[in-house]
Amino acid sequence: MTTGQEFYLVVLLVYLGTNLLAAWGLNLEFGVAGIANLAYIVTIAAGAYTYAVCTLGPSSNHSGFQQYIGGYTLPFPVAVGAGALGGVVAGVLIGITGLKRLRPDYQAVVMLVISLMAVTVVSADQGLLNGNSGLALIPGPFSDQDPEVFRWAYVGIVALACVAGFFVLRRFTTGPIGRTLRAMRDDEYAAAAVGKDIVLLRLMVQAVGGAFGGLSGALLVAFIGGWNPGAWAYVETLALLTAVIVGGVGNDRGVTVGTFVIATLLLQGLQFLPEITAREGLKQDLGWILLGTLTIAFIWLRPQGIFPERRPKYGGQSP
Amino acid sequence: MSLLIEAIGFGIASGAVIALGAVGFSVQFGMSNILNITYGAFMTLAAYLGLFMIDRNTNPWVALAVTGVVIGLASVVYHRLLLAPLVRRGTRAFSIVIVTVSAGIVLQYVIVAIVGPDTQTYGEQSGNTVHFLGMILTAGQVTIIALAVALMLALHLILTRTTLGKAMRATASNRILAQSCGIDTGRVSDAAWFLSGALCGAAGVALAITTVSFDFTLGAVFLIPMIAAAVFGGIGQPYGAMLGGLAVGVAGEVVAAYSNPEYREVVAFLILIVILLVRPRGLFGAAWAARRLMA
Amino acid sequence: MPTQTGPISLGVIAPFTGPAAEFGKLLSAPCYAATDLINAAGGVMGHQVNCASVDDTGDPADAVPNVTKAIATTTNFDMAVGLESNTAETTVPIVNSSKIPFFTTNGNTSFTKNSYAYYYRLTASDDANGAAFAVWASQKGFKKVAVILQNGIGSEGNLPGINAAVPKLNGSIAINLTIPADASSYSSEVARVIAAQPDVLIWSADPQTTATFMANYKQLNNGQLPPMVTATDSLTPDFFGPVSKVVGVDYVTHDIYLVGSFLDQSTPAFNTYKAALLADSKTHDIAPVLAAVGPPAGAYDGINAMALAMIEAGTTVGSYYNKYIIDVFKPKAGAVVVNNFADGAAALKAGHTIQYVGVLGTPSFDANHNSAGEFVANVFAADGSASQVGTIPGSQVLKLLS
Repeated sequence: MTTGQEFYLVVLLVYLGTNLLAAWGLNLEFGVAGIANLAYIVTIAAGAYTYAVCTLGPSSNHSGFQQYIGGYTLPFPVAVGAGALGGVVAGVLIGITGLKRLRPDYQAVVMLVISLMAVTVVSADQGLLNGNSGLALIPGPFSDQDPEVFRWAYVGIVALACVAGFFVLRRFTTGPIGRTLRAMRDDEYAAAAVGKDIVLLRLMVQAVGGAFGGLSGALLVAFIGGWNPGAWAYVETLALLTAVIVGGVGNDRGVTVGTFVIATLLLQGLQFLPEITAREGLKQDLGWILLGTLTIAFIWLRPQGIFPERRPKYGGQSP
Repeated sequence: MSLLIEAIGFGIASGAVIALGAVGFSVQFGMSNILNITYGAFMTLAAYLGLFMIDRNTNPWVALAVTGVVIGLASVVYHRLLLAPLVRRGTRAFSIVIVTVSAGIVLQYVIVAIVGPDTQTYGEQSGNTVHFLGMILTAGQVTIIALAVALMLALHLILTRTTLGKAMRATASNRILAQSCGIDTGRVSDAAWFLSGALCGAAGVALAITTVSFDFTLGAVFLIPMIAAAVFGGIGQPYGAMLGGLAVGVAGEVVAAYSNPEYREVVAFLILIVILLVRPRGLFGAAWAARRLMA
Repeated sequence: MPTQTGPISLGVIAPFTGPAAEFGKLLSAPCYAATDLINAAGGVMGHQVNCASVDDTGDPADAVPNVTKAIATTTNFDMAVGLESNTAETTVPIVNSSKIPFFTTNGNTSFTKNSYAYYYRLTASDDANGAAFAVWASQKGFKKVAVILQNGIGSEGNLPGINAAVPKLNGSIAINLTIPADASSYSSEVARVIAAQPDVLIWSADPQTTATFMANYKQLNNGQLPPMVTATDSLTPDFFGPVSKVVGVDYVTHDIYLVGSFLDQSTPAFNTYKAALLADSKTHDIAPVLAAVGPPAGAYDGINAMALAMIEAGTTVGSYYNKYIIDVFKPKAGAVVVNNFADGAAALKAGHTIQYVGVLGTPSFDANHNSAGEFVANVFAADGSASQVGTIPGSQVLKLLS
């Protein structure tokens, strides 16, 4: 394998890992708890920006060409943790707007608008996070080491995060918490009637889901080194949502498969298509057309996804 | 002070286009209880269809009328083929919103795949400017304001004076009861989607005229102000949408005149969120309509 | 010395989709022109050179897999141009660590100081361009300046230069507005600008934004429009077409000045370049206007320099020929001065040393591999082509920035 091919493989793996973390978080919110969070990408962005302002150091370090709040130089693990916390804060703030019990589709539109508004506010204010130009020169761990070593070490870090993340995820999607969340999703009033604190549950789910998003964003931005509003438009949540819907709503393993199929196989596979027409960008457009069509097709034909959620059977059988 | 009055004038002009779109959106929701996010992509389609005709020397207003009819028909087909079956099957409202969002993305990217991402324009807006009470409007903008008022008046008359209109209102408020009264709710739905689709098409072309230059993101960008306007006035209420359009348009332009122009968009977002969280039925929505919006 | 077999790939890493999609085809043009000439002269040591488009999508996160995939799967990926503003921060490190020499056309001030060994830039950074706008406005006698920039990295980058230069030139900034891109109306912003009564607009925005804004301006100002100084990035049919359709060809040809990197249009290098653009059917239509724009010409010169450096090094592999690139441009005693690839290749084959003087003249690279050069003001002609109307010395611009 040439160095170039190795590098590509590393990129695919790192992207798969960060996409998985994000998809799991979204599945927790949407699939398991029934919260229609179309603003999920904002938690990812929050994680990325938090990591960035925790590692960039003061603006004067880079001859002041970018402005931003914060500007600390924290070690990598701390900064990633800060990123996850950034996601938590974003998730909870978004969740608070969802507390008003609107119809789910109105809820969805409110979330969509929050997503759009976040992009606009960050773009508008240059001093906050350098506006539309975004942040650059964001350092990753071991950046002084040999790049080839760094790459595979980073795959290891992301893999570790995924393993740990999956373990944590299962605590929320299975067992007593998982059952409570599904009960809340299926019939909120019944769940409340049995004494479950719906508000607390929803905020907790938004916090945990946000943590996954923030972690995903922080790990991604440490790897690629730059981040601007072009990277987190509202449609990105829909790409993740397609992975969740196709893979299996409410099914962690299904969502894992779905993310691999959609994010890696489909979207990257499109890049291997030969030039169809004179226009190079057609592949990218095709990608969005396929994503949208897949979502519609699955909602029409198989809304539970490829791997449906396993409903627990009571009376002796374990789920 | 003169800046404020000018800004209000600009707000009325943009508000007219917003209102045109918002009314159609509102009617679709009132009739079928669906938040049709694909509406924006249909507006984009309308703008490009208008461009196709205008480039072949069609009068812009004729193009607007023709496009209205085409998009009206397209909306009926879209509802019949995709949305109505999903509703019949009991698909959750949230999933239907996802379907409409996805369909909007598909339509938008099909358009760009065919015509490319370049900037398009209908050409120089000929015509004089009208100075009125300190506001400055072009002849085109005045025509659009007049058109918006006329179309809304027409819609109001249809809804209140014609049998079809009454059937539409009956179906919107209680479908099953309407069916048991012998109303062919399928055909009435079709009529509502045709009318609202025609308004969508007209709004798309009107938007392309006022915005002077546009690309494939036209409808997507305009969608939120329209939904904000529709919800502000009370979804399902045409007059409410008109007021909402004015509110969103004027508020946006005043903010752009006095602070960061980026915040013009944010105003529309804020109006939408605040209304949904504080008074979901909107300004003129009846209390019973509010129940439809609650979970 | 490693050798490669088969054709060499020259990557054009640019947006072909997304908000800046027009740059993709604009940056492909110099690639076609250069490779047509190189291949007609027999290629680089017998290897044909092919242009390979790599879509960076304008999204810095999506750009990374696309670029790494291209590097992984394209055979003999030994040269690159492009790496546009929105995504440069994430794509430059990748191309550099893959040891592929590249001439970039972005103007990000973040690269003014850098330590990328394979990075080269022949055109000025955005803040230097901004200062050049200010100098031109001052030269034309415009004192009150309205600075209107689109919210985006390429345009915003101009601002520090404008802010530094205008006061030093005894001008004043009457109003400084950042406008959102591609909005449906700018009436309120226009009203504010009109109220400030500027002599000139210093402007940077994409064609769609420009067309809508200027149309609103014309409507609100009784048909009058102030003159505009903008970047040569707008010296494209995409800009000329919609804007003249909307405010009329007269204004576009008389009152819009496009300032950017200077290229001497009387040199043999320029004539060869322009002829190549006209000869290729893919670039024929945009040739008259594109030939006058700095960054694509910089890409063209860079490609020639890289090809000649390959011959000097005796290999097409980037990590080996990279150190010869700057040398190709350097004046040296006894060197044969060449203006195109064919002459350079022949001279090298005959055993001479060469100095390549390209469309952008002789660059003076600093330690960061940046060379700013001189500046020039262009205007459009009625057919959409461009002509030069005045120069701005690079040294003056740099002095204003410090």
